[in-house]
Amino acid sequence: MNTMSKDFHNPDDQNPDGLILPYALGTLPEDEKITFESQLANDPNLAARVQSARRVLEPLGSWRAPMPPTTLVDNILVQATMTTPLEYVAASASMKPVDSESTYRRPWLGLRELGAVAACIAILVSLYVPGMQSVRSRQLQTLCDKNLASFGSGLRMYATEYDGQLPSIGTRSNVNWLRNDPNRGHLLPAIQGRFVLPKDLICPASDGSIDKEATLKNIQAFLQRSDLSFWSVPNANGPRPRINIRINIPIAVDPNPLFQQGKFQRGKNGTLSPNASTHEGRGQNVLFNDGSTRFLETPLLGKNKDNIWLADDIDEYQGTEAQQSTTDAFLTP
Amino acid sequence: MNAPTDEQLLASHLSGDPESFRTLVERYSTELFQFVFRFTNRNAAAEDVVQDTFIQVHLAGKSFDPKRRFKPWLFTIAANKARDHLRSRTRKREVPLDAQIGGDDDDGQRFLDLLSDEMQSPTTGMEDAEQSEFIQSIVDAMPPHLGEVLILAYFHRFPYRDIADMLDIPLGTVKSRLHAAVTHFGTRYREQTGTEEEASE
Repeated sequence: MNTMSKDFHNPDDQNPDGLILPYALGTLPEDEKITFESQLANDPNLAARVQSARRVLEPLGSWRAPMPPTTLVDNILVQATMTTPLEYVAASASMKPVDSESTYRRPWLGLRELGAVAACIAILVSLYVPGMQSVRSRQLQTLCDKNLASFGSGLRMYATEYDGQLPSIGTRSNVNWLRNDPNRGHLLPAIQGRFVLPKDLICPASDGSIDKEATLKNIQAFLQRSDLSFWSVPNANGPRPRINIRINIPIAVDPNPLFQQGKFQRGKNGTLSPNASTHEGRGQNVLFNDGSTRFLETPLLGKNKDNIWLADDIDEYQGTEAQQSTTDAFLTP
Repeated sequence: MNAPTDEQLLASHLSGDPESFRTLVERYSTELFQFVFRFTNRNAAAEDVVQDTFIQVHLAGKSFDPKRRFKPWLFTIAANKARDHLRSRTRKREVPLDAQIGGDDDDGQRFLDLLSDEMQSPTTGMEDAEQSEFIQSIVDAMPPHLGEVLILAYFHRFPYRDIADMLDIPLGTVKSRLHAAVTHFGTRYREQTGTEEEASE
């Protein structure tokens, strides 16, 4: 039988014992706090019991909760802008004139005014539609970044459990990521362990529809989908980076524009696409091994300008190419 | 000039001012995230629950009773969603490891076949966050109705009255639950650390 309850708190007492715990927690209203402190000054026994309560509570202070991702506020606001409160709809409906059926009013818009209004609308549309498309693209980019950050969070949790290692299903000498052995298979242990949710592998900007998340609710769908958004973890033939290495390297990125549907893509004049097409060619979301995400306007990283999508000195890819070291930024599908 | 109250911001949001909603989100997203994290113990889950909570505030703000205070209402929504999340998590099915590689055109090999001996067991070593995880494990092991009262009172400094409203229980029940929670925590902590409580003077 413990003795603490007698020391600091009997919940059935009103005063002063019943106030010891809320006082120690700092939840007493100001007026009650002042009264209690005056009692405390004159009652050493009461003061000792307050100290006892504080000693019991003190270890709780070492329970740390992480800070939310920096994108949380923006994600909420983006979602909110895409959702209309019901009361707004109701309010707009209630603005209709009550007596519209009983009173005839001459139309205030004649043919000429209608023409002017139509012209204005056409001009406004031509001005704002591209802008709105850009806004939509940036919203999708934010959602994509949210999923990528969530994906990264899951990878870090996995690595915490497995001594800093990223998920892997082992190695084989004949892995061919261009043909039919996608590197995303290495994520399987993290998905099986529910560190990573399959939906976090989807970039809405890439798939064109957020609803497509529904198709990734099981592992079979995850493995069969060829259009997953994040091209993750280096080829199994190469060294696998650890999550806590000192040099910050990318571990996942938006779809590679160079390898689409298993084929190596070039532009009309034979040039390589500089950025993923996912975000209108503006750049790509990149996840780093410290869990941070950034939108990079170029696939070149660091002072060495390491290309995240290309292996050095290789023109024709066979599907067996891999990163050269744990600091090589080369990512394969 | 004093900053607008939560209730003023919500009213302003309902009248169509988007900046008010942003201010509310910025004011409470971190605290709410940490609150839900202590419930769910997962970053991604906490993020989802916080987003869902604010979207519900956005969609159903008009159902808020202006005679009450906003913050307990917000935390009530979040706590309910966190409980829903925990319930759904326990219902999820395990998925098999025998899925085939590379879709339909492969040779029938399965990922299970590729599992190697290289996979390491979860570390059991000491880490910087061990003390935090230790405290968390004690609270996690509590009956949920005690844990939630302790989190609300200790980490978020809600008065008894607010906790009673949020959990829809009588004030006396809050007091007795909190008392039981603190006693439970203190006892388990001493048991597991091997420390003895100092004698009261």
